[in-house]
Amino acid sequence: MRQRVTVVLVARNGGDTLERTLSRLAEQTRTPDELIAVDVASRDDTAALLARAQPSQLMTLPPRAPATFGAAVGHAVLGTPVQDPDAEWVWLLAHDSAPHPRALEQLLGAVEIAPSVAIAGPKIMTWDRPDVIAEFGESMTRFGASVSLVEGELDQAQHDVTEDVMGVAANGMLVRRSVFEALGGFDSGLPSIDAGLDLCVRARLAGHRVMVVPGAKITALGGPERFDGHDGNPRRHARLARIAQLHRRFVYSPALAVPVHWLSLLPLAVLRSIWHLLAKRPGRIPGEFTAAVVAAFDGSVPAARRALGRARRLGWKAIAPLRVTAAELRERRGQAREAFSATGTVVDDPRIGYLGGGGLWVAVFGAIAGVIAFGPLLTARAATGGGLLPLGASVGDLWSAVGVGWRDIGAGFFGPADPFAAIVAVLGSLTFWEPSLSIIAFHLLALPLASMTAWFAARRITRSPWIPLVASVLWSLAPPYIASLMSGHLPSAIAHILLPWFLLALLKGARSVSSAALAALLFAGIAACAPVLVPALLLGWLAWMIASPKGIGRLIAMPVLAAALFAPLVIEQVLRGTPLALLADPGAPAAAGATSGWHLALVSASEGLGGWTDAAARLALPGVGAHIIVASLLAPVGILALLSLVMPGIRRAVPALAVALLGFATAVASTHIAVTALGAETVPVWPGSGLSLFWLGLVGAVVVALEGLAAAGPVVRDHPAGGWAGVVASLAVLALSMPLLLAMHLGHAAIEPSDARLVPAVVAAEARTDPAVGTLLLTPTAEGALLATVQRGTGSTLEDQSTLAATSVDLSDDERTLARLAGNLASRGAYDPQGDLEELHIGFVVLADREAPAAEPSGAAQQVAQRTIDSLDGSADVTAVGETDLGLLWRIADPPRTAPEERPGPLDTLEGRVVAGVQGGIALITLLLAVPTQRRRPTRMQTLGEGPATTFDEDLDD
Amino acid sequence: MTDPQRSHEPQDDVGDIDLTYPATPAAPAETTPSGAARSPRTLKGAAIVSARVVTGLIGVAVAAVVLAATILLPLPTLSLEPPAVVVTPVAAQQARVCPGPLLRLGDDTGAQATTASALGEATITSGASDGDIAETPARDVDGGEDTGEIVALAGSDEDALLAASQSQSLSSGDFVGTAAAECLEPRDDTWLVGGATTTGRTSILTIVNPGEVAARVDITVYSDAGAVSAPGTSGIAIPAGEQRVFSLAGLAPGLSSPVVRVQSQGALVVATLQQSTVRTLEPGGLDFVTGPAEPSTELSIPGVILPDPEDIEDAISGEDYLDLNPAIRMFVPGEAQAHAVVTMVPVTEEGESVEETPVDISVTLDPGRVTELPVGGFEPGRYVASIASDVPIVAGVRVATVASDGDNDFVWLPATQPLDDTALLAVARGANPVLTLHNPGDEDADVVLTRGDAEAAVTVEAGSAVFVEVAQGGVYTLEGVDGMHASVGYLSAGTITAHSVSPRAPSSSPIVVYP
Repeated sequence: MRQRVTVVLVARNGGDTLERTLSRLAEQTRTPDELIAVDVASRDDTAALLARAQPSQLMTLPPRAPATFGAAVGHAVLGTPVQDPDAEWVWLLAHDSAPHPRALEQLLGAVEIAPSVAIAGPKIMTWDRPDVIAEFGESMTRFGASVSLVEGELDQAQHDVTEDVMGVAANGMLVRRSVFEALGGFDSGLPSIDAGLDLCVRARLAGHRVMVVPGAKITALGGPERFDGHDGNPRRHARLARIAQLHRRFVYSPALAVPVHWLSLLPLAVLRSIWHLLAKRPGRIPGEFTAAVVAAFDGSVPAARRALGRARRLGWKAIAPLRVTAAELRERRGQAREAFSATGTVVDDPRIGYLGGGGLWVAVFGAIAGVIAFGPLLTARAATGGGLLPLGASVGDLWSAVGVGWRDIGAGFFGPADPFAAIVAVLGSLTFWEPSLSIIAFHLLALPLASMTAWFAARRITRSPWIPLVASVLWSLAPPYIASLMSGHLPSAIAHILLPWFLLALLKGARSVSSAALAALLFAGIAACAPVLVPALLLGWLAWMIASPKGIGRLIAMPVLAAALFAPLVIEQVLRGTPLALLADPGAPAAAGATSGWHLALVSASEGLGGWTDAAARLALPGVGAHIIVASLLAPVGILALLSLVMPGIRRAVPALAVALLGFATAVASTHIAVTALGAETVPVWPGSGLSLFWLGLVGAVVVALEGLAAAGPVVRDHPAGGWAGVVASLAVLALSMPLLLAMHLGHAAIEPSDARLVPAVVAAEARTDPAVGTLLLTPTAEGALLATVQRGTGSTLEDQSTLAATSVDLSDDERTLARLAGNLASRGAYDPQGDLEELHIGFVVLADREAPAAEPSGAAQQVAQRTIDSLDGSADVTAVGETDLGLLWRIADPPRTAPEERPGPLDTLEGRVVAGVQGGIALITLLLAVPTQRRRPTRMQTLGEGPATTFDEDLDD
Repeated sequence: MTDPQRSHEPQDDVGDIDLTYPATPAAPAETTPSGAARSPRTLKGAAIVSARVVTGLIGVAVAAVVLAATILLPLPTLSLEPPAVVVTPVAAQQARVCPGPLLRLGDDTGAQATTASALGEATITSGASDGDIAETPARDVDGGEDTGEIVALAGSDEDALLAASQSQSLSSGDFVGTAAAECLEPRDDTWLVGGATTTGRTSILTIVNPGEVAARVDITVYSDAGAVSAPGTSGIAIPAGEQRVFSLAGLAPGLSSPVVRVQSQGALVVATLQQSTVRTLEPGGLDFVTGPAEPSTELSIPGVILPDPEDIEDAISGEDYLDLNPAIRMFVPGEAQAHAVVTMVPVTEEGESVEETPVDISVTLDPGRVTELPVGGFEPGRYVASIASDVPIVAGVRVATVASDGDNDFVWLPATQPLDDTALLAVARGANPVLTLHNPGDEDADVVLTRGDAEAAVTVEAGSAVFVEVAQGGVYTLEGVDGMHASVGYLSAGTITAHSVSPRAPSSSPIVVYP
């Protein structure tokens, strides 16, 4: 019996490709018996081209039918009944499917010798490169995801042994007409992707075979989702594929499982979104949820299930062997990755490793120096002094101080925490058994940590093996860094460690989503630690985006996390009219010596020129001022930095020096912004943060200069001048920082070991039964005023500190009550404190005997102290307890009985929950994006010049 | 159909980049080997070198400009003021303590010589500008008689004034004379200049704690030989609302001119000394010694009535009578020697002019030792002893009166506190009360005395003093007395006494609090 072949050619706006398709169709060695051309709502010359081919039928799709390939085929095939469908084959072609002249002959030849075959598919080649296979058979995983069996491989007949497959693409498919009719055509719920696979699966379940015919080739331009004219973009493709998969899941699954699948839609979408984040495909997340929503309200499922049930003859087990197993899938992914890598230019990484490059040795020496410098802290339970305080007793305390809630400082208030509280919480969680230890550990490891980040950052901008060593020495011994550590400016020190890392991530972020996300994380960290650096860093970010416009898509979201963390604080500060207070240093307010422009230019963050004023006096250097010593020790770095401008590599030197300039400007501005109240005074922002940025720029310029000198400079004693310069600069900076490094031993350091107690032992014991019991701490000032603070429970720890409180310019009602209470307790009179004590829930009064460590008590302070002692001793409302290490202690005779005011935690209010949710969500997304998930080759690195960098470009550029 | 997107391929970015030099195809100037830069043989090389030199110069110039700008430009500083509250403390409830009746050691039979017992009752006059006055006796710690009287003011407004004074006349056995005293507000440091513990002189120290908490009291006695060390004088506990009585002789016997300092911690106290004199068998008068003033460089002791020296001389019939002579007792609490000038300012009736210029007595006082000077060579009459010193000192004056029948009595006059603009005066029930007003200032003062509806105006010229007769038991409001000193004296034949007029104790000063 002779087989009839009807070609169904479906065209939609295919003017560009139709000509080739039609001419190839005309060249077929087996001429089709009939050609039905279907024009699907084309707006170009498609109709004319089709008409010129003189098809046996020229149809147009009725206006209400969906403009899909499947609908067009169904219209053509099912709408024209024939007498003997068993003897007729239908060959489905799209406008962009140009068949090889022998394609039809090969297909027919294959099905003629295998009567059980109902559907045969050709080998689909890429339109532009006919020797590369675009697709050759389809299958499914156990979970129903469709898998293309061969993709993008050079055709070397390696797949020609394959015959039986689960499915073939709709495009180019040769299908027995009777089967097509029995199956009811393509599923209208699958407009593009997986339509062919679905038809084949149903044919298989109806007891037919589906095969691929290696000899039959057609070239095709795009996938089924491109039929309607969209260009292929991976996000759209992924969305459509997911919709198709979910549709098929509902159709294929047993009726009982359908509700389960329906309920799993949203959770699965969330899980897959996390997976996309980890895989650095954030662009696919919206599609994931769109697909879930579309699938949830998919009305075509019942009809499709009925069609499947009607035609089904066999169980699902029958097609199980044709599914792709997990092992096969893994292997295919591995091959694909290899094939992908092979397209890039792989070179051996010329740069040196951390261990081999000696970076580790700098860190080891740094660790030894750290142990010596911070030795007194080794046996302490906590470090206090300057801006340092002990941390809360448990990790729970730390995390409850994050977000929007009750701020337990002074009289207390409801408001947002500093973002720095989150940093403290993370830090403290590292030593969860005793959070305060993390601060000590941080100090001991501060030098190696800084040397490490500097080493890796420097390695990125030089190929020389030794220059990163110089950079890491210069960075870890930076005078502002050591000054920050010794004066208890913990946030500034953390920012110093993060700065090179941030720079590195920001530069890489132009090409990499994970690096951009890492930059966002680090930016948030630096902003939380040193808000004063934010303007300078944002300027740098803008400049970098302008310099690398291709990376804008990745870099643009860099400040989002920081913005989310700061938003509640910004709102509060702006509402009360003190926006500049946002720049205030987090942590406990600490005295910072006011520094002049000269001091800052000599990279000295506090008075005393980094300890040199004292050192010069101790060493009794005749006639040599401390500033001369400091200036000459800084000279190597300064000269090298300026020298970088006349070296090759000006494109790196100028930005580095611009960073230095920004940093210096920040430091100068810092000293002129006094917003943090410390007792009766305001202290300026700590200039150490700005100086760190200044130093970062200088070190960057030094690296450039050293490289230039090493390459071109004169050779001195068999070594290049650059090497000598590097050694001299390192030694000079080591000498420069020596007085600061020894500050703890010389007694200049503000930080000191402590037993982590903030309140007298009596109060601490009381706080065990009443954790909210307040201690009123009265401190006489040198001006004869009185500072009144409340320590709640065991005291206000580092995470309790709030810049909102420290920069407050108005008094709350509670604070007024506190002032009235304090003023009257310090004065003999008929004042009855009981009501105020009850309201503030205060159980103890301490007269602190010193305003600041090392401050001599002044006459006025003595008078205020005496007056307070007289008053309290003569008052029946308090009972003297005695002298404690904090000062004289009195106990309130009639302790507060009523429960203290409600103190909501971060999750106890709607506001707090919203803020925590939004901030936590953004942080989680950033973190997932930043986690490096890409497998790296250990010894080889890939450089991406102008090559196929990543498919991600298209993903974002659409 | 095909799927060219290769969706299952690793989609991750491979963002490992190399920023080392030359990171990207650089500008020609950058890629030129630096060797060419060093030895420019070509025009291009020369251009590169000059470009670099120019860049370097620009860099140095920018650095210099920035540095100069930071050092030279006066940059504005933004500074937020930490909020502070000036707290005006709630004024204390006023309470004054009257010493109560005169005491004797032992009872009438001479037994129980260590316990004090009351001799009759004192009459208390009190008045307040507002509120209710309540009198409560202070309980004696040692089980003796409750003699001290706490006069407390309740329900008054904040600037109400309270005044109280007491007086008592005795003529039984050894105790003959009158004694008046002002009831004073408690304080933490009281100087009592007066008393004696020589033979026949009995000095009894009463310390009353009118407060709400216990007081820890230290008593220090100074003599002309310096501080007297005595056991049991420090850390004396006096519970709230109670009193203790000490015989000064028990602490420091045989002192002719003691000065007693009473310091308290915890509650504030009122300390009063009373002295009674018996010369052999002849009663020699009695009086209270109060301490209204604190050490000062400007002291005023109003109400001194110098007797006719001849009357005194007639009465002196032995060494034991020498303390009938008027004397001024002074003490320097500090470490430094004091150079004091005592001026006896005559007190006139209003309108009378002073004929003679005041006579000054210059004296040098050793620190830590009590100095007692006789006051002689003045016309009999009323005076104010005004003392100016270069270091703060304390002082008191003792004068005696002798009646024609030989009855005699003495009075201890303390230095008084300068008054506020308005003062309240409660005149004790004693004979012939006379108010002395001393104006040590540079301007004349117009003083208005009001008692009920009766008003009297008195002008006190600068640097002078006047006396005004007042009514027994009357409560007067004195207006326009800012900075003036006042006392009330009671003189009749053979009896003399006086008491000070003290302003309200200063309330605690406002204090700045940073919450």
